[in-house]
Amino acid sequence: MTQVRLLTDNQKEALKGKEYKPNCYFNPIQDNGDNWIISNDEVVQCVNPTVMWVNELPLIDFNPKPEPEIF
Amino acid sequence: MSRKVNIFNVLSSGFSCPDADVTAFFAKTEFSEANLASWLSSIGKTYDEVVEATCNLITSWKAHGIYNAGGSDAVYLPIGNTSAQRKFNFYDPQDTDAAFRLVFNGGISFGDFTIIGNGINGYSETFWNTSDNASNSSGSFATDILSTATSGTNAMGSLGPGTALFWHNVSGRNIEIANGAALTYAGSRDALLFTSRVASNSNESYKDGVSFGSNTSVYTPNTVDVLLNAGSNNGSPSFYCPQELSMVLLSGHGYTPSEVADFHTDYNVFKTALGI
Repeated sequence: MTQVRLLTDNQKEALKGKEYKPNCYFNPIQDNGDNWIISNDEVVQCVNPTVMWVNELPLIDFNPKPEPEIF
Repeated sequence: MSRKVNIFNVLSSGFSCPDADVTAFFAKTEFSEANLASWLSSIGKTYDEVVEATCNLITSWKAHGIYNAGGSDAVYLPIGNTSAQRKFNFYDPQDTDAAFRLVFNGGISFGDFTIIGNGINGYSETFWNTSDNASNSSGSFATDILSTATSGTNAMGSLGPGTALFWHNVSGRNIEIANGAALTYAGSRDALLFTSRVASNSNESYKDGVSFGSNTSVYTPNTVDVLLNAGSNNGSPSFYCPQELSMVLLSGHGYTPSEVADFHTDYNVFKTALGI
């Protein structure tokens, strides 16, 4: 099971517009339980000293929202 | 005795390309021999070999009349393996939204020749949309996908209410390339996918330069940006896609079958030269 990092609402706001490495920005999304999450990929690649607290975020199983119909 | 040197065409390695766009691209700091050194070591090529391959590609596209054919196109070539290198549109390599420089969001990583989504929240914003930069009568979208993953369930491109242009669906084992209605290729997804609209009611899709279907769907272009490794669903990123993207073309020009074949042939020579 893929795991992701769980955010509080305040943490989600704090990551808006922040780079985890040059040219790459955090993208908090909501899972199927409406939890705010980021991927572990963003955390393991993070070199931004102002947001290294992301390494302390709890890991949870990824529970994606169903995709909308395309056509 | 003096020796005349054309300083605009001689790169740091000494290789000379007659094309000013190629020279300007490799004159950027991000593409200096020093800044590409680790990538060159990883792919086992020299700086001269990469510059020469790029020179051949660009001069061939120009000779075939398909270089920036729409006038405000974007092409992202697999040169370098960092975010600072992979973000540039070769046709206009400025670090601005207006130049369609990519902005990477969420979980994105970089292989030697690929931009890799994570299928969770990773995507690239192109700032190129099918309304401003293409039209209801012309446009093209190409993606060179290297991934052999079978877990991808999503698509990428731009999607509007009931319509889709620039939409490559790699769901399951199929490749659907939509131009208002889906055209499906059942087979490997490791391919150069190309979809083109040459008239308001004439759409055709290709895999590795060979047509696999056409339709006569009519639609209005979406006013939302094309995304890579995700689909823009009326402006909201979704359909996150874990594929490994090597090259992407976004064009306002509707490529004809012979132009698609030329594009594919020229690009394959480039790929072979780089060992892709």
